[in-house]
Amino acid sequence: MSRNIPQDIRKIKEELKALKSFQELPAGQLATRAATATWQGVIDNTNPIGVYSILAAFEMTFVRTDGIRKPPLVDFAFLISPQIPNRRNYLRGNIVATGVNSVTYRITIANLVWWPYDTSTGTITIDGAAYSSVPGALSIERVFS
Amino acid sequence: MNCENQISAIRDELKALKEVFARNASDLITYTYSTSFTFTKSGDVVTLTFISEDGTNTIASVGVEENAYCRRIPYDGGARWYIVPSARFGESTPYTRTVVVRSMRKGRLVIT
Repeated sequence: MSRNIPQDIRKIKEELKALKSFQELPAGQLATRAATATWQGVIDNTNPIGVYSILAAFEMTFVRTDGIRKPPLVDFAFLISPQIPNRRNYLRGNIVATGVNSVTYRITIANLVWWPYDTSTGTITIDGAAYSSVPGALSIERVFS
Repeated sequence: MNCENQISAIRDELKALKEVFARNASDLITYTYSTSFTFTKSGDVVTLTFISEDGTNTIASVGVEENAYCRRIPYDGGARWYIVPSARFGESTPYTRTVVVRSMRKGRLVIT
């Protein structure tokens, strides 16, 4: 039986490439160290309290660094200090975008409480973390005020 | 080694790779855990911690019954969430809720 050797080799290479691009799946290789990022700065709380609006918003973006152009599997976490006394549901976080090799997570702080210092302005710190099955870097920026 | 042998060798390697991937991919089967907690006063916040059996971090999803929501916070050795009542007013406290965690790692839940 005659065979087209170059074609066979090409098929095998394509299959190998597909397998490599699928490598995010092995959960056994789940990253044991989180990628982290920190934002620190002043936020102002000048709007009337009690009417729902966004006091400040931030976006954390996890970009995979293994060179594969697929959105990574990633779980985000964040902690803001000083912490809002009680009712910490003034903080929200959810994934808002995926890129060719990244995932973006948005944090919003609702304008429903005098916070952080019972005054209209104050310095806060956001410690963000991303847990992924692939290596990557995390960044954080303020996107709305 | 001729071309036929090279292809044969590559195919053997691919087969081995596939077996490894299939074995690892099975790790995606998540482990499910459930526990209950009680909000004891207005504005209460409960901390839920998942401690991995092997001490590593995990990717996990968490769900809680109505009038409460979860937010993950940084934690090494598993995963940790704040569970927060979502309603500003309404249900009288104390009240009990059940939370379900699906994790890629084996472990246990701790409520504090």
